[in-house]
Amino acid sequence: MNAYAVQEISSQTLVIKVVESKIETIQRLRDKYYNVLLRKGNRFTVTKVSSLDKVSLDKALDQLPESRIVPTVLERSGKYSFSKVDKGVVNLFEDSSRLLPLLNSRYPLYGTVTATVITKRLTTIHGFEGEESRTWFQGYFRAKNGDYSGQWAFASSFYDERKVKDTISRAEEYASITGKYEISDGKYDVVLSPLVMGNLMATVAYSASGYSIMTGNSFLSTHKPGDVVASQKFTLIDNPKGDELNSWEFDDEAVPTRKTTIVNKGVYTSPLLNIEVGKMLNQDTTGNAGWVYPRPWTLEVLPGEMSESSLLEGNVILFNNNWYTRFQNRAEGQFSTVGRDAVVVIRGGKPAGVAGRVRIADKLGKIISGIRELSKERYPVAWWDAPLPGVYPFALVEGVNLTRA
Amino acid sequence: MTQIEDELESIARRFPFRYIEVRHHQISSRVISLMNGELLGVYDEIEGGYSVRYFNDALFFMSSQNPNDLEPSPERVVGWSSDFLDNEPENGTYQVEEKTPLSSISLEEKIALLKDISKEVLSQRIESKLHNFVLTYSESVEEKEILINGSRIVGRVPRILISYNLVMSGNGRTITAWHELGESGGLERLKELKVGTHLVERVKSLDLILQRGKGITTERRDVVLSPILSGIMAHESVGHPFEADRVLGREFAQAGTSYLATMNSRKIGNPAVNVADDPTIQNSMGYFLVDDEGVKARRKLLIREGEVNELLQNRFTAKRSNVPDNGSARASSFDREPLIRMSNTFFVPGDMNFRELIEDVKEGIFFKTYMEWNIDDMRMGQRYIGLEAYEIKHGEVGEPVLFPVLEGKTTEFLSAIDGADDSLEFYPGTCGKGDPDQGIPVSMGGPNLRLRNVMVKVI
Repeated sequence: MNAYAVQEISSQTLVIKVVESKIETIQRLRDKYYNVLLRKGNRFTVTKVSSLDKVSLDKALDQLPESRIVPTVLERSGKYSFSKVDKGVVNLFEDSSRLLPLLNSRYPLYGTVTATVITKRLTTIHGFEGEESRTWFQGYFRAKNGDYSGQWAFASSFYDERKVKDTISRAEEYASITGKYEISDGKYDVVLSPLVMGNLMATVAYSASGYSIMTGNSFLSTHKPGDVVASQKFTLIDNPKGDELNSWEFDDEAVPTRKTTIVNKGVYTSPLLNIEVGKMLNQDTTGNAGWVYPRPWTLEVLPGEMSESSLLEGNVILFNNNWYTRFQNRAEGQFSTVGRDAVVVIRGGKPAGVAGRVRIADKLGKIISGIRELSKERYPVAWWDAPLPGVYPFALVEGVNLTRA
Repeated sequence: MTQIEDELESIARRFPFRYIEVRHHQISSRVISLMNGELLGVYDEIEGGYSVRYFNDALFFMSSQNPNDLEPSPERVVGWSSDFLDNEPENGTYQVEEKTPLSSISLEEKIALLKDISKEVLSQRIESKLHNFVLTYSESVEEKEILINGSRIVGRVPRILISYNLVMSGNGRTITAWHELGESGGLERLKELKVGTHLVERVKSLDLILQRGKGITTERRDVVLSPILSGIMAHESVGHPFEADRVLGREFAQAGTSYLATMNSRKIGNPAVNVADDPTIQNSMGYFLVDDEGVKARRKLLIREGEVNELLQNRFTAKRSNVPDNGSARASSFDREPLIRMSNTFFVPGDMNFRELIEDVKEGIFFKTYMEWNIDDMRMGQRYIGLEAYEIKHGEVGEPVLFPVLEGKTTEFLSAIDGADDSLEFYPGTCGKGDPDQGIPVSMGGPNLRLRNVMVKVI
C-alpha cells in the first residue's frame, strides 16, 4: 500500500464504576485501530479500520475533486521511540482488587477510576517511524449528602492511591456544605474551581484551533496575535511536553510537539495549528495535528499568587463543578453552562449556603478578561464532562452573569 | 452457522455465569464534508469487534477486536446491581430496508450532489453575509449479532445524517447556526429530507432575523414551540429523567440524577401532555425491535395525560424496582456496555391544526429553531434560546424577534402546555451517556406545542 501516513493506536482501558459506594461494573476494553491517510496531490481520504487489510485503496482517489485543506506530513525520516509506562497502572489490568477497598466514603460515593495504557505509532511516506507509549490513571468522585453533593477529580500518569483518597476527601468536603441560599439573576464575583476551569478552558483552547478561527466559529476569529483578549493575570498554555495526561512527543503529521502559549499575560499569542491550516493562516505548525483539524493536547493555566482560601474571602460564589456547556454563538463566544454540586454562596469569607444549579450565561472573552486573581495551588484534573486534561488553579472572576431557571 | 455465530458460541463457553451477553457489533460509515462548496474531506470507518457482559454478583464487561482476548475478570465483588430480571431472552431479527442502497451511487456522485446543494445555498441573494458554510453528509450501517443465554438477536440499521454549520453576519450581528437532519434507511431517505430546500429556507430565515429582527423585553408571555423545540424538550426534560438507572442513582456521577428521584406526586404536567418513546418507528434513527439484553422492544408512554406513567427500564433496574422490563437497553458500539437509552422520544400530537393552536394567542412568541439548550443534572432547570423566533400577535405569526430566552423548570413548562397541534416531525440526535461515553443515535420530535404565560428573558 502506498499510504501517505498510517497511524496505529492500541490501548487497554480498565474502568471501575462506583455507585452508592458499591462497585457497579468493572470494564476491560482492548482496542486497536489504524487511521490511514491516502493522498495524491490535493486529493485525499482518511480511513479508520481495525485491520489494514480492510482499507480499500480507493480506486476513486484520482476522480475525487481536490480538497480545500489537505493533510500534510512533515518531511522527516528515521525512527523515534518514547515510552513512559508506569508499572502500577499496568498491574491494575491483571487485577484491580487492591484498589477496590479505597472506593468508599462517609457519604454515598459515585464515580469512576480509569487506567489506560496507550501506544501510538505513526509511519509516513517520508520514512518517519514513531512509537510512543504512555499510561494514564484518572478518576472523579461525587459524594452525596442528601440534597447536597461535592465532586473532585484527579489525573495522573502513574498509579497513586493517595490521589484516590485525596479526591474522595475533597468531594466529601464540598458535599458537607449544606443549607439552601437563593440567588437571583445578576452579575456576581465567582470563584471557579479547577474542575470548572477544566471545562471552560477546553472551550477556549478549541476556540484557538486554527480550524475554528478560519471558519469563523471562534471568538478569536476577529483577533490577531498581539491583541489583548484577557486579564493580564491569565496565561493559557498547551503543554504536551510535561507529565500530564495526553502529553505526546509527535503529532499526527510527525511534527515534534511543543509547548504553545495561547494567551500570555492576557495577550493572544498563538492559535493551535497543523501544517495545512497553518499554511492557510500564513503561520507555521505548532505541532497540534489532527489531520485537517488542529486540537489541544493538555492544558495549563499558570498559577497566581494568592492562596485558595484567600480567594474565598469576601463575598463570592464558589462553583465546585459545572456541566453542559453550550454555545449560543461561537463567533461571539456566547455560552452558558450549568453549575452542579457545591455552588456555594460565600458571605464575609464564610459559606452562607448552596445556591444550587444556577447557570453561568456569559461570553468566554468576558470570563477570561474578568479574572482578577488565581490561586497558587493547582490541580491536574480531567473528568467525564471535562475530558481534556489540564492543570488549573482556582480563579476569581468578577462580574459574571448568572441566571436561574 | 456463520463465522460470527460460531465465534459468539465459542466465547460464551468461556463464561459459566447465570447471565451472559456476547455481542459482535460493527458500524461502517462514510463521512463527506464540504466547506463553502469545496470538498473538505472524505472519511471512512469500519469499527467493530466483540464484547461480553456477564453478571456474577456484579456486572463485568470486556471488549476486544480479537475474541481470544475475552476472559472472565479476576475480581470478586458484590455489586450495586445485585440481581436481574431473569426472563427468557427473545430470539429476533430486525432491519431497516435500504430501498435505494447506500452503495447504489458512487462517491463522486455523492460529492457532486452535495456540491450542487452547496452551490444553491451559496448563490442565494441575501442582504447578510454568509461567511462560512460547512455541509457534512454521513452514511452508516450498524450491524449487531447478540447471543444471550442461548438466544440470538440480529439487527441491521443503515442511517443517513446531514449536518451543517453556518456563520452569517449582518446589521452589526454575527450568528452561528448548526442543525441536523437524518433518518434510517437507504439513499431514498436523502430525497425525503429535502436538504436543499431546507437549507435555502434556513439561510433566508437567518437573513431575515439579522436584517429585521427586533429586540424584546423580559416578561411573561404565551409561547409556541416548533417540533424542533418540542423534540429537544421531550428528549432532555422527559426522556432522560425517565431513565430508571438515572432515577436510581447509577449515573449520578456522570449524566446526573432525575427530578423523579425525589418527586412524590405522579402529576407532572397539564393533562394535554403525553410523551412517548417508541423504538418501533420505521425509518427513525433509534429503531430496534429487540434490545441488547434480549427483551422485546415496544412503545412506552412515559407521560400519560400529565401523569408519570412508565420509566425506561433494563433487566437490572426492572428487578430492583419490581416492574416489568420494557426493553430499553442499547450499546453504541462493540466496546460499550448496554445502558438504558432513549430511542425516538416525542410529545404525542393533539387534534387541532396550527391555526387553531395560535388563534387565541394575543401576544406571544413562536420559537422555530434554537441556538442553544442546556439543562441541569436533575433535568429540572433548562434554557433554550431562540434563533429563528417570531412574534405572535392576535393569532398571527408576525415579525422576527431577536434571541428570546426560555429559561425555567421542567414542571413549570409541562404544566404550562395546554395544547398540541396535529403535526409530528422528528429530528436526529446523538445522545450521550455512560463512562466511557456512548453517543447513540436517537430521534426526537413532536408537534407544535403551546405554553401559556411563561417567562421569556433576553440574552
